[in-house]
Amino acid sequence: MTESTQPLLRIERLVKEYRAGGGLFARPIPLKAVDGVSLSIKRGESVGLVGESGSGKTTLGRCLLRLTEPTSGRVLFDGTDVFELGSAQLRALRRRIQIVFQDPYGSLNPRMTVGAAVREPIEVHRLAKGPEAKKRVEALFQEVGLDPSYVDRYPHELSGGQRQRVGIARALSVEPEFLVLDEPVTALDVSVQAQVLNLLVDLRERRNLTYLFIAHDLAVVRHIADRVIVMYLGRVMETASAEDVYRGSLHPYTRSLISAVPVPDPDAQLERIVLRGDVPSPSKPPTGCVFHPRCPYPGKEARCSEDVPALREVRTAHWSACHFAEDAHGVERPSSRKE
Amino acid sequence: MTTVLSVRNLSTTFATDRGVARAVDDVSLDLLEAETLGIVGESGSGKTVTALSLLRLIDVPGHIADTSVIEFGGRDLMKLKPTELRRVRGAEIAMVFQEPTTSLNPVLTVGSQIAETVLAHESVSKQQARTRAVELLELVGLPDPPRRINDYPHQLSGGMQQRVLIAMALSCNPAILIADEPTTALDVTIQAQILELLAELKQRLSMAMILITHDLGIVAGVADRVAVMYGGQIVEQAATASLFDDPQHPYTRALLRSVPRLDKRVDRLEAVPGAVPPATDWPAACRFHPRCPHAWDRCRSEMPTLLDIGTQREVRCWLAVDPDRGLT
Repeated sequence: MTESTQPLLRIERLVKEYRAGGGLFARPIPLKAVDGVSLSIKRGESVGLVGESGSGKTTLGRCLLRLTEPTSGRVLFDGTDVFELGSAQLRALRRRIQIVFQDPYGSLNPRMTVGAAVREPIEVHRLAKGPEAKKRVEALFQEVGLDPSYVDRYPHELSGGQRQRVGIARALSVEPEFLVLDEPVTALDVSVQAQVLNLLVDLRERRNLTYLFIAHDLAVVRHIADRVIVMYLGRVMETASAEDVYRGSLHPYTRSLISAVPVPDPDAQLERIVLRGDVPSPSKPPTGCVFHPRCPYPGKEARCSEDVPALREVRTAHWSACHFAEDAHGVERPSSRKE
Repeated sequence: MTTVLSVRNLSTTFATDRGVARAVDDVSLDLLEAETLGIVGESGSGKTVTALSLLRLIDVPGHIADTSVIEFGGRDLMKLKPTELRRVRGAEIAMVFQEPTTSLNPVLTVGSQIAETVLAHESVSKQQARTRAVELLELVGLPDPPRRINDYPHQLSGGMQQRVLIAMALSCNPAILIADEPTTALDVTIQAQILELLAELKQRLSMAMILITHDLGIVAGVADRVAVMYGGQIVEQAATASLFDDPQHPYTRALLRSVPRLDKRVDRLEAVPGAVPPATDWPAACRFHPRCPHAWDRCRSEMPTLLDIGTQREVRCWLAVDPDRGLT
């Protein structure tokens, strides 16, 4: 494969099974958090991974960094299988892939100054030390929009937005190529969320980064992602460019999800598809298409509850795992939303 | 339309290690019959403390200023004795909170928790209270209520737990329902169910509702009127359509422009610089001025009052009185 066609990251039939519950007399129930997911991400792409709770999106993100070992399947980063690396190679990998978590308060050591927190990975990876490391930390602070005089502060002295900037600076400190952003703006207030989103857009451009942006907020994902992957109960339902997903989704789940998002415009209220029932437990996934019990598509048939629909390329670069993706229902636009 | 709740000069403070936090400062608002009033704001804006203060659910070190007036049903709630107040809470003004899991008692079945609320306010037998619990669960759309009343909270999903809490809140046919971020902890498809349920119930039971949220999308879809809070104060109040069409306060404007939209893609979000200051340390004069792109001398020296700008709109901004300094 040539440099240009080989994806930076490829996931092949990834399965992560947990054993839930169980006890003295009860046998634990296997729970597939991620159920046979395959996807690839090109260098320089920004891919949004959306789903509700239980969709497996966070587990998937953690598998990429080997923070969680999958039950089966492969993760190839730049052609190398992540799960076959020895500890030295793993360390090298973690220089190239970094993760930013949702709650910067929970992911920063409260007794370490934020400057030390950003400096730590630089020293662990032996990228610099002494005054040179200090200089790097200050440059990183500047780059993420923090006053370098903040290096001596503790996490609790900063606001949520500032802490998330520290989290980003820490991730960038080892000069990664790939960032997994796991709900990075979810805990932030709207006015601050925009600051951090703008920063992430700028950084990607400046540093040529590749993003996997995991979020439940579709509007945020639309803003940041070139391509969107929609997950439900551990499986990929649909993947396409952000424009195609939002304007011409080929999956009833995605369409319901989009229609459920409240739009801040009283004149643009969409006719809402309100899904009935709850997301089923991953320990008892429905047969056939996992979405079928809640699916609002009027033409659904017996095969929806019997056969698992394959994720297939229905149109150019637009994949859907709905039996009816080729039919008319996928083509209509998600109705009356005004531009 | 008649006013069901009229709040004047509500102020609530908390004594903290870092000084007095003026969480709610001089809030006045009216709630009309059968209306949904949205209170929108970021964390630390004072929206939740406002809601709690309306029912005087503020404990030491918090304190509601004696000058506050909360008029409801011909009485001033500020002047009621604790026993009288208890009859209002739950029975006439009910509340639903954000976290369904922490609001329910984990060791009691949901049926007995609803029945308990009914028994606390009405003189009915235990059997009648139980029957009422089943009816209420039917009303909020819980599947199979006769069986579900014997469930414990952990056996229900987050969405179902929130339905149970709404059922409890409705158990005494309140005139007003205060919902504080009722869907924030829920997934978006479940949020849509709960919002639909609240709208339906409001209509059916002709209640007035105060919906507190940080989500501008939710107020746009649900509220008739909106009060925007910042720094413990109402900074703008208007009918929902006019607020979104033509926001008058720079903060409201900034907030609307900073949210990513699903229905249109922008290249760059207009972020508001800085962060919400802590309530112990509000900026002098206009509390938004350090973050405001339009601030001028007067904004730094004098606190704007909530100005009536006609067509039932109010705005707390000096730009509104100075026609030469329009918003851009």
